[in-house]
Amino acid sequence: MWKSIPLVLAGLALSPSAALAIDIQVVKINETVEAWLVEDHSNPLITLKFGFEGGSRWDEPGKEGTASLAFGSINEGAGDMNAETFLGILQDEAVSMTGSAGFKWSTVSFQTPTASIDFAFESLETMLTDPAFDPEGVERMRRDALAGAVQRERAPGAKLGDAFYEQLWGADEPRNREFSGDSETIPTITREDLLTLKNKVIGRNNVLIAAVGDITPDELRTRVGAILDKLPVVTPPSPIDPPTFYPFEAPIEIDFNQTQSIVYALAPAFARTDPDNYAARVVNHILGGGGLGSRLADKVRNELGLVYGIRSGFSAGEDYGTVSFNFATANDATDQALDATLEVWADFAENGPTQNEVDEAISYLTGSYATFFLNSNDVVDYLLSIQIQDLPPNFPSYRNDLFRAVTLEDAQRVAKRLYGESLRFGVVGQPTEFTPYE
Amino acid sequence: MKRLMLALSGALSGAFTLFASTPALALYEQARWFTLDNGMDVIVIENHRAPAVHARVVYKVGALDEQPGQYGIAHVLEHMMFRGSPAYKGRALAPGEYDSELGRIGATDNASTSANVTSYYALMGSEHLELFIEMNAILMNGLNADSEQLENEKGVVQQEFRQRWENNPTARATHELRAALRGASAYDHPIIGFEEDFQGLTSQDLLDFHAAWYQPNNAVLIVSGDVLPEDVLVMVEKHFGDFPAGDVPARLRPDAERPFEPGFETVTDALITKASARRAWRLPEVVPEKGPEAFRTRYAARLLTSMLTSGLDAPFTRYLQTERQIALSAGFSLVLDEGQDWALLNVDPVEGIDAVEVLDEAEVFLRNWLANDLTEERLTRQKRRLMNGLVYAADSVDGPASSFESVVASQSDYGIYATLEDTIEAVTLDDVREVATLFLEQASAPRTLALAPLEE
Repeated sequence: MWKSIPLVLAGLALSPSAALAIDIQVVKINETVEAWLVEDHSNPLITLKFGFEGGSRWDEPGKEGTASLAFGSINEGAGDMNAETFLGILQDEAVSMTGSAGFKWSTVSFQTPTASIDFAFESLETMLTDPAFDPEGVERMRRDALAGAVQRERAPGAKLGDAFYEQLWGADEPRNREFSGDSETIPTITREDLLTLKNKVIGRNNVLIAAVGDITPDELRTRVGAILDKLPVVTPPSPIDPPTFYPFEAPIEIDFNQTQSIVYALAPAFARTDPDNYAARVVNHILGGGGLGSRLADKVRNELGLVYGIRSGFSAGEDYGTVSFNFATANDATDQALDATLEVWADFAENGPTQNEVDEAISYLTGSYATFFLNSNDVVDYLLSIQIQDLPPNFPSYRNDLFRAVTLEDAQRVAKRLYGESLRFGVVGQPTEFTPYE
Repeated sequence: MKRLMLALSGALSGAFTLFASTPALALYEQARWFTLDNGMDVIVIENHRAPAVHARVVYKVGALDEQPGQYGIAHVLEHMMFRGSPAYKGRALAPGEYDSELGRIGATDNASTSANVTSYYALMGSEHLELFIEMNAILMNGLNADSEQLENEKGVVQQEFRQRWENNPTARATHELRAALRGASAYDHPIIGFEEDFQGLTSQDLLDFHAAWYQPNNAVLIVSGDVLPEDVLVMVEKHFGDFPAGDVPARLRPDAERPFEPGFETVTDALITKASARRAWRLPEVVPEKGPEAFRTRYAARLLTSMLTSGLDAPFTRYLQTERQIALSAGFSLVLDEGQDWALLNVDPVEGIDAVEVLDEAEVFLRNWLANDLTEERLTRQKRRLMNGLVYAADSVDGPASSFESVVASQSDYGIYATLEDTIEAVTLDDVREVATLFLEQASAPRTLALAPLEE
């Protein structure tokens, strides 16, 4: 069998793929709205994602979970169709439309095989302009939401998270409200609340659009334009303050009967608009973002064998950021694993990475960009996220250069800046000893 | 491997198609597979939507191939493969080098051990595929199994054991139910093994296990994404082509040795966050284990399940969720795989409703529906949904690699995906009735498992 192969080997070369296959076209839908499109006719599938500014931040106090339930139930019937009929015909045509609420932004995702395009866009228009919020469907979603809330209330990791952030940002911080609702708030949400929320959020003047797949710019303009024309003008959200970070007097300790303790620690950091944003991603990768080869994994997992996994995180939002680490270890090894972690952490803050580590981290962070876009949903998620971050459509063409520009000096300075902040600690489990401040 | 010649000539001429079909199946039409002289299989699924590939080397060995006293060795070996290998074709790997080499190019890599297979995989820019292939050839050649490294890694596995097994009552209870259904001691231990077994493993144990199973004729390379099959072949031949085929131990998949014990068990634990209940029945082994008939019967069973549960308009959903409002979800499946066949009914109750009561009610509904309400219309609708949904399979660079791994794990013919559309079309209402009857008339007495959170 093999013998016949060399016939095709003449002129063999690996597929040329240095350039990223993500070519964004900006399609003007109307006077004020643009859609970002990656046109790709290789598979008869069209994927769209709409981002609407607004969401859980508008849940009324005592009715937490409203936006989440509203967007979760957005496809529970449309026009005069009840949920069962509407979702049934979508399923017949393999068309999918779902909603999801976030704190500042909410989204509607849409996918259709090209063969069903007329039906799919008609259904999308009906759903966005006239969602039925079929009571039967909403009640089913409410039962799901309640079960999820009760489950969260029981989970050790969530218990720690709730107590940790309440101490960190204070009980009044709007970001600390339970966006999915809890067992007290979910039952109080009415169909009227859902409609009110939907009318506040789904508008023609607060929308960003990402599209990928088997559709031309003209067809996208025509079909999406027709839908936008039918949406109302809504009041854009006002700015919201970043959270305040409070110090901890003592670590947060949650008693939970299990053989492992889960340890979490966090310190404030800068926002993504900071010029050191890219250097921060590089140093976090070296310290503990990079999986099995990171400084933390090398010490605590590979050398000491105390954990199965350990990670550090750098998370940067629009107006604030955090650095953090977490691991799970045997109850009686908690202090040992923590000490080892803090030693690596402090040394890294003090001395920073080596040139070789910086080179390798940049190589990883730039090389992995090709693996961001494995399916249509990945692409629209990314297109929407860079629009939300106010980055230009040619951002993918120079994104890797921003990493390549990070020098050893930058990395060492930023390591000091990020990891010199005092950490707040939390643990859930039954640690024999947990003494982060000694 | 009869398809081989056809598939390969297809790769060569570029003109060959297995069958005429809708564009939905274009992806699987593009699957190509071939076998090296030493018996190593290679499967390539082209998809040029992004300059990335997902590649996995799959060894046909897993927890089910372990000997008593060594439970967990397949998994410990998988961990130790990252801790250094002797030179092959002039290149050795230091501990951690496999990961750091892949990290340097921006790949994300990992490995996993299941009951049937052990696989090493990575997602990377397509120009880096050869590095992955080269390093995996070094792993196939051998490992250092340094004893100090092994002791450290046992600590890591110990923590993984706590996370996955000791502190996971749901995993433990469902494993036990499955072991009871299978009824043979080979299936009784968890994939991660037992603490006393894996802690006692020596370097020599690992070297012996590797020598026995990590052979080219027991391995499959699957590549999905932005590559050309002929390019992959060249790389594979260069790096794996010189390994000689070896004798691979026979794989034991014993039939049930123990009678199935019906019963009822409730597990209550603070680590269970949501209530659920499941009920299982052993079925007689009437379905052939391999071949097109087996595949068609399995699809009949799968269609039966989706006719019952898929979508809001499905009878189970409509009755339990909309009408009675007692379940958040409910499932029923007929598992007709190698070894034991069984049926499984499971429910997640609405908060505050007893899970076993919901289960009982679901069973009454199920039996009545299976006996009286299987209709041609429902089957046709479900087939259409399944077909229309296939377009989504071609949307993913990495998804097909996992699909083909499951084919390897179930030891089926690689061609089954290529003829999927025909298989689905060929399923008749009588086929579906036949599997329903198998359950209604020949199932054993059931065993019920309820999982409950510990209320404070």
